[in-house]
Amino acid sequence: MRVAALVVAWAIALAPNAAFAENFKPFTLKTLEGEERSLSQVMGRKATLVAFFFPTCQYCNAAFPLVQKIYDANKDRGLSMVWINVIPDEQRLIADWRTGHGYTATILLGQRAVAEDYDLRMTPTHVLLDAKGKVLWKHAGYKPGDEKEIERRIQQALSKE
Amino acid sequence: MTIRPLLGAVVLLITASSVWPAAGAARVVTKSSRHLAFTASLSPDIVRPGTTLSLAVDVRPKTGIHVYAPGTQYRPVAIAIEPNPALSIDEVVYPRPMSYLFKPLNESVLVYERPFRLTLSMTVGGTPAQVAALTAESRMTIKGQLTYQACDEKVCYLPVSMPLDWSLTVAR
Repeated sequence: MRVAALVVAWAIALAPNAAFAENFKPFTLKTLEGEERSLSQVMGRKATLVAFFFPTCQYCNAAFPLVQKIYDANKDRGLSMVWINVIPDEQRLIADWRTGHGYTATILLGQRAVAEDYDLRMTPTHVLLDAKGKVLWKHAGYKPGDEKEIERRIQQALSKE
Repeated sequence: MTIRPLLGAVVLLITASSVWPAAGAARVVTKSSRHLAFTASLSPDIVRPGTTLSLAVDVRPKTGIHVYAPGTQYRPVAIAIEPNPALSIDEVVYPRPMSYLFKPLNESVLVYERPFRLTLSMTVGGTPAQVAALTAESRMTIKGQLTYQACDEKVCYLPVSMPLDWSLTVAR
């Protein structure tokens, strides 16, 4: 009985939350230009790196120049990158922010429900998807050096047939 | 046997998030989130035309957490009081922040990472129109929010808005 309870507790502890279980929850969100994009429209041929962010998030601003470089180096190999803003009242800042930093990732405008839909409590949160939209890896936060792990995971995903 | 319910009641009173003291005193609200705890004290709790209300919010960031001060490009901690036709609301007074070096960007920002106090004054019925708005009421409700966006040494948390709510007696 006690063993069974432990097994159940262990299984619950290890179970990923619903939004990140197996396949990434599909979405349809607007771009800065007002066009709708679904998950399937922005997915890469081999892998997709989704990042949840907002423009005044310090750690996003520390990570994104490096993540942009990783994307630049790998986009021709089938990598797509999508950044989803999680704070609607910061949407007005994004156009200048993107231009100022020279970012080229697809930027989508999340509504208030995005944080709940993906159980987000912090930014940046990076989620790496395979070609079918299955979640390969999820990473919350950023500290210097994390970009190496992001790149390693991307290389793994891109090297798969 | 009879002391246990009594103890329970005492514990309940101590841990209640809002405390209603005697008339004329401050009304105190204590709340906490995963990033900070705060005590908001509004006084007096009986108002009449011309009364100046003083709100003091003592914020205690949790270990390793900082919130932003005004004067940076980031979202500062703030008190937002909802407009009330019987009320004039002054600006929030902030204490001196500390400079925090954000190493990944080599950027100095103004933050609070130790306990600090925000204060705000409000005047009840300071104009004829406000007095008129107050006349028909026996209670006055003041609602607002403490808003902030916190970060630690690795992540930024999503902005948080914590409600503030008081009901004051309007004296005749």
